[in-house]
Amino acid sequence: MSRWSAEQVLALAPDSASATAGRRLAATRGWPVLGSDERAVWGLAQGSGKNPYQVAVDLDGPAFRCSCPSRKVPCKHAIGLLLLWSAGDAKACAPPPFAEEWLAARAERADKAVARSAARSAKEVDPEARAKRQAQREDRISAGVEELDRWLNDLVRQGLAAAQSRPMRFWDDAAARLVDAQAPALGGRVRAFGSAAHSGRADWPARLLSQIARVHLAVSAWPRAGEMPEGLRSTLREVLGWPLPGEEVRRDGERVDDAWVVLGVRTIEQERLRVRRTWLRGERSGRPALIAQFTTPGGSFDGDYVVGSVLEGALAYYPAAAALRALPVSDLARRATGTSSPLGGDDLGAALGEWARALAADPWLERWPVALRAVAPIRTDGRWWLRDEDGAMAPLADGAPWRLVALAGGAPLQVSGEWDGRALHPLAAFTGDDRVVALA
Amino acid sequence: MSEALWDVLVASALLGTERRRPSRPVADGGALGNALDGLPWEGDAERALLGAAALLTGYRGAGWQPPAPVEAPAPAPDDGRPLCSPGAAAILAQLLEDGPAFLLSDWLALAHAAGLRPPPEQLPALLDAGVAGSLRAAVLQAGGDRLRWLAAHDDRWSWAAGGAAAEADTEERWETGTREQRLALLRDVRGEDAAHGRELLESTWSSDGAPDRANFLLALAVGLGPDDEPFLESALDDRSKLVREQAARLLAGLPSSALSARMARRLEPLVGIGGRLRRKLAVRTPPEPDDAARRDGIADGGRPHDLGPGAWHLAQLVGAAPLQLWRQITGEDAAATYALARGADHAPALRLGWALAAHRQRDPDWAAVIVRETGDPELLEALPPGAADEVAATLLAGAPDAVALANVLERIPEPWSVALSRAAIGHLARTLTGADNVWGLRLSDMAHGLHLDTRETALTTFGPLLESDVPPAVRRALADLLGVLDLRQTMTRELTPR
Repeated sequence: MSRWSAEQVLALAPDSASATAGRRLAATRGWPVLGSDERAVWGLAQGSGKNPYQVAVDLDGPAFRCSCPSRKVPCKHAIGLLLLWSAGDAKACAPPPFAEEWLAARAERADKAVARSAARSAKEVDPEARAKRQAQREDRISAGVEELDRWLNDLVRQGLAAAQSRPMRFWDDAAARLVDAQAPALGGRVRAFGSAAHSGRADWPARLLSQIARVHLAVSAWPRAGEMPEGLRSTLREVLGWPLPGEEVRRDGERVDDAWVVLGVRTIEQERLRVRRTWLRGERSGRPALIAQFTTPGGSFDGDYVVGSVLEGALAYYPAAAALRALPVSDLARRATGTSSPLGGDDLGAALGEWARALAADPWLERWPVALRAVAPIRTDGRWWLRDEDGAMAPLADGAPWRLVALAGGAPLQVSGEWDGRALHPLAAFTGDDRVVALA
Repeated sequence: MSEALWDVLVASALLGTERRRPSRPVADGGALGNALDGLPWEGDAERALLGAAALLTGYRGAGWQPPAPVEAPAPAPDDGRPLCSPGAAAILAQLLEDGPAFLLSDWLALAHAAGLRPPPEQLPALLDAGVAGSLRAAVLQAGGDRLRWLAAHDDRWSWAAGGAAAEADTEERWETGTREQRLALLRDVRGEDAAHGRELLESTWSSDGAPDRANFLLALAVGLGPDDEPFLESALDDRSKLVREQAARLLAGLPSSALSARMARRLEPLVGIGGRLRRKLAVRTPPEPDDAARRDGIADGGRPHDLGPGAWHLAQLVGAAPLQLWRQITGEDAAATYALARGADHAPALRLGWALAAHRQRDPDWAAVIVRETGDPELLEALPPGAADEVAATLLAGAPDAVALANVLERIPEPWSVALSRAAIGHLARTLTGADNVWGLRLSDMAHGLHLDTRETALTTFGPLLESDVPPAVRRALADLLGVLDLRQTMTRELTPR
């Protein structure tokens, strides 16, 4: 396996403190044992205690193991270890016992997991009990949606200006009622109304109205869900927050086997959760995919995705009107990108066309990955844009994209990002000196 | 149609359909128009409004078109230097995130010397690091044309954009900064362009308060030269005593100044050669200072307890007169002249005066003699780098403890010579076991000063101490020291031109 860049390694750190600590560790001596093979890297890290910590990283996955007490994954020792490996300091050799045992145990667990999941899917579920549970849930949602319908009508009858003067409680209570009605995702959208109303932006009424309109669309669609094609019905269920277990997706979802380019990774804090969005695009199929993961603040995510790398394997898509969210069917195998154009990319017109088609299929769609072949950041009308070679421009998200501006130096380069219908959040750029730089 | 209708919908939603009822839009026969026409505008205004808003939200979202093409931006000038290695880039990222500043400054200097450029995505952080001031010159050099190009895009970086913007930025900061910021700025500017610094100082001289004026005069010590004399001479008549004293001290540091010449004229009649058995200096107590002498800074205050008032006046005369005068008087060099004070009247005043003069006039010969004779490290600052290292190494042999070691080392510019570095390591190894926490702070400075060629010596000296029974604070400090040395070593290797 080809070595990752220091940048790619640091992108794995759960927070900047771990990244810093990892770099510090990599810069010091305190590594009495250090080695690697095709599949893994290992080392002994001298800490403040008497015995050094045993650190190992399985590069497929990747997965991390360290005997230190830190709950962070990967911990600073794993980051430091990978940095040393990235710099070529972990020479090839046979793994010491602690690493070998762990790697063997991992391989065994993976085999068992496959067997277990096969067993589970074969197991009979009681179809009657399941149908009953579903019907109960549908009734609850229907009641909640009916109440929301009246609430929305009252909202526009009395006016958004009047609603703006309400405290945050007003929105939170409405959201909480939807959570009780087992439509938590819809509740999240209603809670976001409150943020939009208090955003202080000049265009808050228009933004709030768009958000309300989309919720209204879900509310009016729900009673007719039975008449909908399956994909759209699934999308509507996701908008409401009807959970779909990952194993069902892996079992029943559309499978696409491809070489998946990691276009970008963005982690945000949202409603007391950390959300990580990993954007992929299949090299052969051209299909976009989103791996959305959730954890508590300070928590870490399973599986790590290094921007600009390529992962070989099968993804299973969640059923949807515009298939986007997906899960790896099993561990993906990483390989270094071999092309001169790792992020790929379209011109702006083609990217916007794809977005329009996806939005036409899924009117609740919130964001879509784009990769632009040759765009340069440019400032005009007091904000930053990405300009393609024909001169067409897409606005960049709020804030000053200084790293991207500095990278481009006014010249076009490949940029990947999230398009939210209004602006592009840059995620990564491929530079003239052949590096993929993460920007999110 | 869609834009105008959207605005109507937003206005209606904002005020509420009770007050502003939306009316049925005129159908245009298109798909959107037909869909809108199917909404219950007359019967259920709320539902019609929400339905129309949902249609338009999708319609406008999917149909968004980029604005009219614009000209390509002006590209940044090409930076011909090769990109630094990934390892060097990783170190830079670390230093930018949590310092220390002295290593960041090293990184920039090494990269510049090697002709390597930093990764462009780190230039914004580099510019931010330069905002505070002390790293500016290094940031500009290492950042190159791309950094200057980037700096022109944001006001807070105007200092790096060059030309009129940078100059305006300096003036703005000088006029609006706090006292500490202005003092730091003035020192920086003096370091680069002494005349420009003096002009800045003069530009607000009449409106700055006395404590500010006295403080800012301190910064003129940076890059002090004959061109500063007219301004300083006029400051001798300042309203503030603090300012007058400070100006006199600075003029005394210029042996060619009129003040130095006046001091020499006051001093000459008081000194000669005497002694029957052995040559020694014959010195008379100066008369009570007249108004002119007082204007030149001869004062009663500040007198050390072991000098009488007359002796103190004498010491001040000696301290402000050019040191070359002594060759005329004795016909001897600094070392021999210093020896002639032994047994002379007023010997303590002479020695104090010489030390003051050597410090102010940065006279290496006198400074070396006085450091050797007295063991006082203060005058190391007046020595040229090579000589300072050599003298310092001899001082270390007699330094009793860690504090004395620090007093010597903090006066030597970094990096220290190999010999001095070895002496410092040896001294530390001897004194460290009894050291207290104070050393936790000093050791990181030391890690920056040590010559890299002595890294092995440091390892073999301190490595065993890490395993031994030293207090945890000392062990941590030592590990930090070795860590910084390692980082410097890696940095030097990574930033070597290939």
